[in-house]
Amino acid sequence: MLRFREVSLNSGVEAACRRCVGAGAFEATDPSPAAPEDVPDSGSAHAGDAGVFLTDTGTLDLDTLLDHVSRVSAATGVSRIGVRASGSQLADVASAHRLLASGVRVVEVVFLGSVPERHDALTGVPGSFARAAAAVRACFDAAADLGVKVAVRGRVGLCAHNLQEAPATVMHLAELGVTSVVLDCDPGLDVRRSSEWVAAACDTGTVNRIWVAVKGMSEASLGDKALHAHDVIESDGGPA
Amino acid sequence: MNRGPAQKVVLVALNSPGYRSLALGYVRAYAQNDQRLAGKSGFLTLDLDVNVDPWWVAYRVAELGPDVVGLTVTCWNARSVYDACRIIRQVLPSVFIVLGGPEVSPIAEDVLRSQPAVDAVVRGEGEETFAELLSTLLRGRSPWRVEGVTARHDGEVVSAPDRQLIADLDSIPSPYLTGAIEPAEGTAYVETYRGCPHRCGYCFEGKGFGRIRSFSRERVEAEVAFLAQTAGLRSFTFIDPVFNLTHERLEWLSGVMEPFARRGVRLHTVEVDIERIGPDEASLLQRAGVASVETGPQSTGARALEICRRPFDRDRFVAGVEALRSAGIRVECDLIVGLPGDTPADVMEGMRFVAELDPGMLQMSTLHVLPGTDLWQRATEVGLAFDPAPPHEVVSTAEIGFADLRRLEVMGNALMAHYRARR
Repeated sequence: MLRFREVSLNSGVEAACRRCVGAGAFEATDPSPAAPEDVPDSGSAHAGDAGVFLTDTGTLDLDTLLDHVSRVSAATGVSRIGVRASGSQLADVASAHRLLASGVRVVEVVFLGSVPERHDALTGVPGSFARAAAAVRACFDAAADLGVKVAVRGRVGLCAHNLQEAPATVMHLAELGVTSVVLDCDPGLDVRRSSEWVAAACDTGTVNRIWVAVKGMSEASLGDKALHAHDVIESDGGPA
Repeated sequence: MNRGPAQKVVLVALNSPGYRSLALGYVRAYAQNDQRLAGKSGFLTLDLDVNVDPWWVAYRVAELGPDVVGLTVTCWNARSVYDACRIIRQVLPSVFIVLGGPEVSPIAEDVLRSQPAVDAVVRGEGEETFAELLSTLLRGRSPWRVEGVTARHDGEVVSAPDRQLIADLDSIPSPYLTGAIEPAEGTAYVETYRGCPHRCGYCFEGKGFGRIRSFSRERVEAEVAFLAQTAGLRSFTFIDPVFNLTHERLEWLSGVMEPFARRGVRLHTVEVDIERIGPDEASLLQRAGVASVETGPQSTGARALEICRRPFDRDRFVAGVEALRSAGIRVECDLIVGLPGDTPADVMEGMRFVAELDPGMLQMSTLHVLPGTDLWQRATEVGLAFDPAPPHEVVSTAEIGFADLRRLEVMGNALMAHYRARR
């Protein structure tokens, strides 16, 4: 479908369960995040690519992120640039305004739960849930101000600690008005125990007219929900 | 004292917002020109939005005190029309309510049985039949013998024989030139012929209007010239099923539209047979002021295309899109989810094909099994289940169950939203 070239900015995952990967998971995974000019391959897009997706932006401030966007935009000329974010860079309309004005048209915001208590406990960052939700709203407000179309995706990192909350998290994202949701399943999840919750999350999306794509589970494990193994945005090697 | 016409006729269309019904314009223009009705029948058209409350529709109609109410029905407005008819019947017990249009025409008897408020249905092309129906009512005769009419007689629903299609379309006075319809501000709808060269199984156009019949070139040119004088006109919309019907015709239309294109008037979403578009045709479309075109492929699945009797040549399709893109014309590619023969993989392959083609705009819609179409008639044979109530959305196919169809719809909507999100 829409094939995006994924480019890691090596600046830390956007949000991850610290119970799974230890304290500080929300911080930079690389002590020296890449400078815009050092990011490998960010200046090239493959033929047929619908866009470029910038990931691992966890600890970047907005100005640095915009530098990356600007460079990728100039180098590739693609009409769609996506950014995966924790929400901390975009929690106010002015920041979202700057991001969209730079040419970004797909924003993926990471959620680990449907309520602040769960999300903040898993990220280890107080207030991060409120900022993620504010980022989604800010992107829509900024898009309306600028008169541009933006796709805002929710990305839910699913692990044993938030599995049972997956349907409620999708519901929360639907209420925020996101365009689609990616359930990014931890490889350590027990498929037999998790498939029921993943299936319920997919159904929650369908009845709320939000497409839910599942990453990290095979079509076979999804059973009669096998279509959810497909995403409308695909990156090199599978769903983004 | 002016007592008004003996027969007051109110025509009602519940349209998409901003649209005015060209169909009612034709029906009215023809009836106004009918000598049998001259001086006896008076006409008024209500072009309302489909979202208007049926109680308000009934209020507007009742205030006009009509003897006859005619409503045009499509799959999109049928529920609202039926609601309005039910209320109108209670308010005006003796009014004659007649329906026409593609939703009711092929299933006229079923409609009369299920809608007790309705007195008659005009089947097929409405112009001649509606005028004769009005004349019959004026003379106090029963309408059930009028060719092309289905009506009630002695407690039964009775259909008179079909009426022949109008051989000479120019015998229908122009709704614009006669003032039967006012040009809507901003855009004007034009029809240059009826019928379709294709016989796609899901479409009413090829089946309902049979062979191709054209308005004369002089008539079309006069309408275009008249409409072009409308204050605030920015665009024309040609409702012809295939704008590039023949190369020679495209050259003619391009020449007709060119002077207006130079003034900045544009043609939006004209439907084209894209596999017959090369650089020359793209250039002619550009000259005509075409800003965007609408086309298939509807599906890329071989089995679905075969069942729907729809040709598809991938290479020529791609070449057509590229020719139009080079000419700066935006292409809207349409896909239908739920065609018989398509598997989920076929539907996703279609999405992948159009997304990678990057035509400029994507439109995904779910199959509506329209009355009178080939798929309506062959539904059981090809394994289609659909909602019998309008708009007759597909429920399941032999290849895709109910739940997966709903999932593919949602996936398609997400693809469209993501596709549109670009600089």
